[in-house]
Amino acid sequence: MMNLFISLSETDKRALIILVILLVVFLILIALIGVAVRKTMIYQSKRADTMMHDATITHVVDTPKAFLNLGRRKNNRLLYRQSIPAFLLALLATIILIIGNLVNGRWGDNIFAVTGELFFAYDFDSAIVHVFGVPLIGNWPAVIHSPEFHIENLYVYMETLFYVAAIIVEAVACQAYIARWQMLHSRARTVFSKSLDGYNASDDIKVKRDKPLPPSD
Amino acid sequence: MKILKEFALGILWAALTPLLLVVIAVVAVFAIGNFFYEFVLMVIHFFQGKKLFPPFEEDIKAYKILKRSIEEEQKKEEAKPAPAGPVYVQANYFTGTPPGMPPFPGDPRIGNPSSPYGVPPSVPPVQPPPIENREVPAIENKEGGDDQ
Repeated sequence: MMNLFISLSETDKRALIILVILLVVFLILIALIGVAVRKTMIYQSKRADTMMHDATITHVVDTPKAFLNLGRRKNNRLLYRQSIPAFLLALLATIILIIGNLVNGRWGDNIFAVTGELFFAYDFDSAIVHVFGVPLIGNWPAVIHSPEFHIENLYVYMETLFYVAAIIVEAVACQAYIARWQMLHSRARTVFSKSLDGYNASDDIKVKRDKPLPPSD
Repeated sequence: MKILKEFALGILWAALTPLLLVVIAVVAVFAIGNFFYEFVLMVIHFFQGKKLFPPFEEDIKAYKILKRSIEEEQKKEEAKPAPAGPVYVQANYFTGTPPGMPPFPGDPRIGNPSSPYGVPPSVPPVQPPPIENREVPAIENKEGGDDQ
């Protein structure tokens, strides 16, 4: 391995070092995304404890089945309440879509493709170079489309924005539902479980202090 | 070690994120059906005159149990006897402070015996009257029986 490294040219060595650094940075970014998702779900799952606390400590629900039954109904109701903003955003976007298309008659347009005109478009194929068989970006990609704003597409931009916002809000609400569901199932197992750790059945036996029998001959 | 553990868990969760997105998509389909189901329930409760989201029976039972336990605790606190000791008449600014207590810092008569209010007489502490074991007559109601 060291002979292979020594036989490489200076340029190849620099490319290899840059590749390793990029790989480490990429892994750290990926790990940060995973940490963010995990912490968010832990935070969202604590709502399940708040929902079930009073009914559990007063023993109104005293079996795992009753616990899960109540938890499921409360979780569904909370999912509904958290979905209301997403539904209203989607409804508003749909109203804008219908009114705009009634005015312009553009029923067949792809609203996301039309909104894509607001952003740069790049040609990445011309920028790819292969380093040790690994495709990397070696040059600046060519710009094939610059942002263009058309006032007649304003209603399309608005409805796309509202649809995307509705999708994000609903995704967060569903993620919270999954986190609470997992916490409810975990608590249903642990809250009603009993442990015999440290218990010795012999400790409860009370020895009667009667007179001992006389020794036999 | 904790940082390495968090890093490893982050990589694991990032690798599971596509699976999580698939599960979120499935739950989103369920959420659409759940939305319309709860909406219909809400409309039914509205026309029945109830709250849009009435509390669950289990929550009502839990609330009654918690409220009863709090009221029992409060009754126990109220039933505790008051601590015995001399009762001082509340000091009036114009009559002076009770003996044995420091004067009010803002009292203008401090060090001024010639004030128009004069030097107040010392007020002895008021002792509570002794408790007498007297028989209390029963209160009779209109029918002539004891109202107890």
